[in-house]
Amino acid sequence: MKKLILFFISTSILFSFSIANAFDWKAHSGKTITILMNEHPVLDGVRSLIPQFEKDTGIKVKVNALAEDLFFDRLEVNLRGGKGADAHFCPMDATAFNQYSADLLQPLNGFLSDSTSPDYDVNDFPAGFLNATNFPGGPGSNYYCIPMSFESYIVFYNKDHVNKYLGGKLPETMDELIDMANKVKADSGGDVAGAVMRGLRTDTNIDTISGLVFNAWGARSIEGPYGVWFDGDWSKPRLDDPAIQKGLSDYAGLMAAGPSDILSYNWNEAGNAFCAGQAAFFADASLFGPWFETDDCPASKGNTGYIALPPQEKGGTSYTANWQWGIGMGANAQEKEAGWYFIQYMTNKASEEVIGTYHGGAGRLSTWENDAYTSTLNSEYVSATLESMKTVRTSVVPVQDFNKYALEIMDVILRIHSGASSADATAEGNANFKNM
Amino acid sequence: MKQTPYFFILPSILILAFTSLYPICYSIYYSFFNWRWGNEKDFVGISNYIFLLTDKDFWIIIKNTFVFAFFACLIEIILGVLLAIYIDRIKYGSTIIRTLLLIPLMISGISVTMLFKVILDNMFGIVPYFLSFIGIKSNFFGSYDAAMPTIIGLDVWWQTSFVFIIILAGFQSIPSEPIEAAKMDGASEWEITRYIRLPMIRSLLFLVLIFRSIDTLKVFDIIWGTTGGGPGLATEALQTYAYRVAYSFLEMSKSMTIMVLFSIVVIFLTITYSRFNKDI
Amino acid sequence: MNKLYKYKHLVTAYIVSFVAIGVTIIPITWLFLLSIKSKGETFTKPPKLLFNPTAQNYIDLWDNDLFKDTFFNSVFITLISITLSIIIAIFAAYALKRYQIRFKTAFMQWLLLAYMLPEFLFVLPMFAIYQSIGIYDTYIGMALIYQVHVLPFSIWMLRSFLEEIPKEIDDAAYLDGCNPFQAIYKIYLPLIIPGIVATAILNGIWVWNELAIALGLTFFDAQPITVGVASFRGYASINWGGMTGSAIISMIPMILFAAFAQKHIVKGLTLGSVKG
Repeated sequence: MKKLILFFISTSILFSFSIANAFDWKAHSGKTITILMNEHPVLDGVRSLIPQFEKDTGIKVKVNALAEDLFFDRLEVNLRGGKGADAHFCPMDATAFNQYSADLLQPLNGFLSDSTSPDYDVNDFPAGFLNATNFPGGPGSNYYCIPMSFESYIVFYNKDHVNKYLGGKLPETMDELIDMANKVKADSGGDVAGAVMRGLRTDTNIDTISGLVFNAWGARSIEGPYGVWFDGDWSKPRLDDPAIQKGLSDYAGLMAAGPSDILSYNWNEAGNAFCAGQAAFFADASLFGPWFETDDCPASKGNTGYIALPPQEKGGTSYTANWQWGIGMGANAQEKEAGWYFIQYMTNKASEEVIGTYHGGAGRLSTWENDAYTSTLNSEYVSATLESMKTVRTSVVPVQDFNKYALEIMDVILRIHSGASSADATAEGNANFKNM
Repeated sequence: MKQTPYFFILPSILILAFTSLYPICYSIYYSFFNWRWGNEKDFVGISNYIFLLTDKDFWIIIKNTFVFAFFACLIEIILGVLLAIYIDRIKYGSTIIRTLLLIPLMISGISVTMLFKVILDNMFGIVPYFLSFIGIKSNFFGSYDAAMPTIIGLDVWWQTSFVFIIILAGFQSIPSEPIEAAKMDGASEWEITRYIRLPMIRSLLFLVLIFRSIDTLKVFDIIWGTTGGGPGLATEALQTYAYRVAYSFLEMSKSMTIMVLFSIVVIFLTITYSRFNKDI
Repeated sequence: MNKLYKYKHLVTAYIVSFVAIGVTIIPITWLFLLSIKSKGETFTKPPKLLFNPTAQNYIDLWDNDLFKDTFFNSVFITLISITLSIIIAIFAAYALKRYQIRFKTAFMQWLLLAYMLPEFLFVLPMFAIYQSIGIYDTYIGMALIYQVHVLPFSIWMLRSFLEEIPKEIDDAAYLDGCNPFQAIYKIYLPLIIPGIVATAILNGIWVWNELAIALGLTFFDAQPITVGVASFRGYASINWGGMTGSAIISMIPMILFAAFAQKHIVKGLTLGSVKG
């Protein structure tokens, strides 16, 4: 009898010890989860890991992938329906803030402390990235999304075109960039676009636009939460600030050096044009870099150069914006625990090493020190991105309905593009801001 | 049993009440609030209506919708009648011709948009490629000026068969005596068409007009799928705008206000048509 | 002189037919060709007319979780919608024909109005109530809302087909002392089978092709094929394989209908407009 008691005591000690130390990836084996994602290089990376995930955890994954414009609409519907997705691609900006304010998102701190593998190390993500969706902000807040990729806004250039039309010379200021783009367009008889940009009238261009505006804003501070667009108060828009006027005009100037149907270009079409060698310069998200170096882009593979946004003055400092995609969970998810397993699996160190190579914007600091990741990327890209990370500021403005303001800012650019002066266009923008 | 007929109609009435009266009442109710799909729902009276009816963008959208409807109907009716006139003459193979021409009508609006997106694509599409040989360069969906005509073209490609099939059937059911008699008198083919055939299908033409006009006002699929209302507001129509207001801006109340206003127009048109056509 | 005359008009008729058929069929054929092209051969400038066909796009669509479900969802939603509307409409049509109903004109007017209402009107109101009743994102929920459009149409069509039945049969049925259910089931139904088929096909086409309402009231469980095709719609989308392949798949059942049931469809369209 004594032996039996000893046996039970020792096995229960061993048992609890092993529970404390072993993380059971198969705890939710047999369940099925549904994921709502956006067609994006990150999704390609995720898809490559799903078979391994299903094997490691026994959880079956159903992927619902939508093209981006439709994804945003469907995400709002999904979060308000009875049965939400168990994990979704999370735009870590004002959209997430609005969703949080309407109580639609699942706080993640509980999962982070109770059901996370010990080697996860959430603090490997820079605080700035995680805090983009740390609501309401300050102590006692919850994380709502885990970063999956970040992007900063840089300039890609096609080496062949730069050599042919510009004698291999690269722009040293933003004005030079616009002039050079126009030169390429003129000298090529319109066959090669000087620059491609997102010209479509949508609020989602705001991040690229912020990159150019911050570059014009320079070292001046930006007081949160009002961002660069408001002067310390939501009722005081300052679109007519000279730096903002310059930044928006820069954007319109680059558009003017673009193809004739630039007004229908979203990031997909602009990226596709650069990928097919149809443009000399492309100012947009850094995470397109790896795409341009794949076999899908024979005209830009091995032929692409990367520089930070040229500063306003020669020898000055370049500034830009950053933005992140993350992964989150709706409050109405059906399989929350299994969904969390998916989230932590796809954002842990091992997975990020793989997924990161698809988009070149890894969120974890450790990944940037990982040769397995950096060696897959063009070294000029890595240095351009790292350089931009030094002066990068978030483009997120956490105010309700910021997307309407963002659409108005794009409208200001479109007005400048069709000939209005930047003073008039921004004055009209201020007036429209006040009416919202 | 005297109640039998009412019993038989009851399921129809119940279902129609739920699916048509309830949405209208719900929409009218919420159009007086400021609901933004969140927790805030305050009564705001008619301010949504005033906001919309004084918004210059809204009037541009109304104009777009009516311009689209007008031209789409006009072209579809003219082409459809012409097609019917010609194919009415054919005996051998008319069934096959009719079947093939029926096909666009049977496919969904979203399929039509995919088709035209790839065919008219500026970089890789086959139509711009051929057009470049004759020196025409258009941006189709990407151009402020060409987008709406392109969308009208899509609707014409898609729906002309509707007019064609109905008018053809009308022609084919015209009795042969008056036509034989006219031929004996030496009337030319076109004179016969103009003075005998067309007048006899007048009521069918009117019916086709009713259906096409209201259908084109309700346009959604082909605009939403191709341009989303862009570039700028060039192709934004009432239903696509209501969609955008609801899902991009989350302005539920405003979206329902738009639909209430639009439904009033549709109801008004339907009742007006009914008055004109006593059969209905 | 007369013979030449006749030929001239016939020849122009055939020319017009060929042009019309070309404009109709060539785009669809090109769409199909694109759907069997590999990515590298699709994005060429100029477009390639000769290429190596591949079924990869269709294989990818089969592996696409979203798209695979949508096809079957559409089948079920369409079948349930048609069945529901025919059953309800046959009784209403019979009642309208056989009896004097006080509010007949008002009812007919209501049918027309319900049929004409814009689709997006239903989306937001039904979203809320469907969630509370629990029929959001279900086949029956979709079949139910679709009645607002297919039920009026069914009632008109079935009524006009019933009206074509000669009065003698009506009288015979009455004399035989059938109750209404028996009359409908034994006598009228068999006589208007072609009419029912035509109605079912036309309604089926409308339901299969519907988008706006489906976008608002379905998600993972019941989204139909139109939403599946739409999932590839990005304003500058480059997944041409998905776009073209999904469009072709959603078109195939409808094109088959056109081929085999065109007589019914034509009859349905013409009758529907005349009596509507």
